[in-house]
Amino acid sequence: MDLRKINRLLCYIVLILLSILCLFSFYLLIVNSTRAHSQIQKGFSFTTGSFFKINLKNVLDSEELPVVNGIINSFIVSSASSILATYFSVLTAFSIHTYEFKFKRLFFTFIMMIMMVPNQVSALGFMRWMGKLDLMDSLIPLFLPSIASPIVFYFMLAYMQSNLPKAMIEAARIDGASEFRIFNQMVLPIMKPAIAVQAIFTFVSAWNNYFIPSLIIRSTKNKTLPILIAQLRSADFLKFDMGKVYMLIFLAIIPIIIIYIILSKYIVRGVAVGSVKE
Amino acid sequence: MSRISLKNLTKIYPGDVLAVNDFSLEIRDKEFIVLVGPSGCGKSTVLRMIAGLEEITSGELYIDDKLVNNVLPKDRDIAMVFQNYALYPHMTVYKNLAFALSLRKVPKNEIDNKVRETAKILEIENLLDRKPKALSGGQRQRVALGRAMVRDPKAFLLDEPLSNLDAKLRASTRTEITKLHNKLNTTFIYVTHDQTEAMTMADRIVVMKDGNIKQVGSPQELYAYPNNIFVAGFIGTPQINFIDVILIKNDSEYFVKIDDALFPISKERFIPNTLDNYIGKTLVLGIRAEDVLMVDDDVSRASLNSQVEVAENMGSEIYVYIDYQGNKITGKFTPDINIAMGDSINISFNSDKIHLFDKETELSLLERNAEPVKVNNH
Repeated sequence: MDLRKINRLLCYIVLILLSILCLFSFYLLIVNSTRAHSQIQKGFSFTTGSFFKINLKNVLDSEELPVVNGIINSFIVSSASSILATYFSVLTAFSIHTYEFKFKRLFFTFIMMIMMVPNQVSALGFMRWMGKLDLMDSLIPLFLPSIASPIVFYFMLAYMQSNLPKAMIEAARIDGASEFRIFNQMVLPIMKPAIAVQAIFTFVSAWNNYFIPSLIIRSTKNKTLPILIAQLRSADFLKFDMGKVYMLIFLAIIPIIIIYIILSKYIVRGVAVGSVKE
Repeated sequence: MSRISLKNLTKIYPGDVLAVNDFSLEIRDKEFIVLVGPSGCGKSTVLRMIAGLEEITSGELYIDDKLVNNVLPKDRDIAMVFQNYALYPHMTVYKNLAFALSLRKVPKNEIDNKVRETAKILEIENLLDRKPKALSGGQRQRVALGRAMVRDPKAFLLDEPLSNLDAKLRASTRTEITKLHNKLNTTFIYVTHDQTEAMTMADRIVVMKDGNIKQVGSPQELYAYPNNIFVAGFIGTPQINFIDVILIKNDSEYFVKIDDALFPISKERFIPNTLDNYIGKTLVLGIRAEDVLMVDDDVSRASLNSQVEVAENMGSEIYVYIDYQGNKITGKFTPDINIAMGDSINISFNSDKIHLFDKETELSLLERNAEPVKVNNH
């Protein structure tokens, strides 16, 4: 065997080990969702059990645990978040990129400053504000703030700077297009890869978000998946069922996996975005 | 008909950057006018003000006697071709061409006819279904031209349209744009930093520097009668040679003196009664490469004994880079001369082609034989 082959073999071994490391938690999750609570407590097993259907039934039938409702709620919040975050971020980025106006730099700096403030700092104020607006225990506060997403905005701006030549916008103006038409017919299609990437990221983070929903949501019918999972985990000693917990987590990650698979080509492209100017 | 007149146009960018200063120009109907100058001279800004892409700080812009300072670009009925083509990347060539017409709510079949007709003229019919990404530079250039043509605009504005093409393609596209101008019979305003493009295409050239017009005239006029040192140096390749000389009057004869050599000049060629003001003073002599002569060492004729630094044989001619006491002079000779690096030669000047410039004002002292400017001379 020559050196190149050995080298290659080593690479593969490292990569396979890394993949196993990544995929092992998924495997654990799937295996455990097919086993009973007592089996799980005895320790880990590589073979699947026979409790898949029972666990599934337990999770879906539970009265105080409206899983289907939770999935729907999570889906509404996550979709609305990603649509609002991407559309309005592109809009903001477009204005900063294209127009010259007074205090432009100031606005930009202000947006960047917001990016530095962690969610937790403003959470209390946000909660009180929502209380005053009578929006406590509603889904709206979970997705509406996505309109102002500084990180998404910054990504869009960076993508625009390398992919949206100003001359093209000017050409469209001379051709007779209105500003809004330019945005919808020229800018949005060109921004598609960036929008796809940010839509996925926003979707996933909204899907996984536990912090804000736990502050806002009270009633059972409005609970999102992360809250349900937490609720299940903190159940009292008699009701505690690890099989159910694993099953619920398993259900929770299915939509994300599907979305990742569908949009994976955009993610790869999106990560490379901005590195090469075409 | 489309006359464009620019009256005292000034553009000041934020931060008090003066881009264009008091720019006045009458552009005639169907004229091919070229704005030329080094980068940063404000030529593109002038074009963009005509297009409506830049606000005019002061001055007036008329298209066909209508004041358009505050008219939106789309309502000015002009078309523009950009340096990087600025095609719509997500649309096919067909849609790129049709876009402006569909915005103007032209009937579909009419759009189709117009797009196909334009594509035929530009020989891009087979590319209509492609997206810009799948086109070569030259093809994109054609599409960009086509996008301007479909609308039958009053004027074409072209902003360095050839600078992204390779040298060979640039030359052929140049002739095609000239042909296109003849065929369309519309006003063309063309911006470039390349004096060759300006010389070969223009009816009239506007030479700009630092936001000011240095000279306006036909290519021949600018070449033969540059108003000032800048225009003389900018127009023509190889660049005109400049040498400091002292003006001397001997009886009623005028000479320019370089060290001990006296070169006669005829005063009729210069603005009457000006030469006398400069006697004994230093002037800048300008001489084009083809007017540099190689002469025998002959006492009856003034010459400069110089060294050959480099000789470049271009096939049809030889460019010889000559050093005379630190002055660099370029000469253009026929290829039959026998010359090599390091040779010592005697050079003289064609005295009918000598330019003289005031060293301070940099203005030419040459009397201009006002030549009628020909329009549509192609």
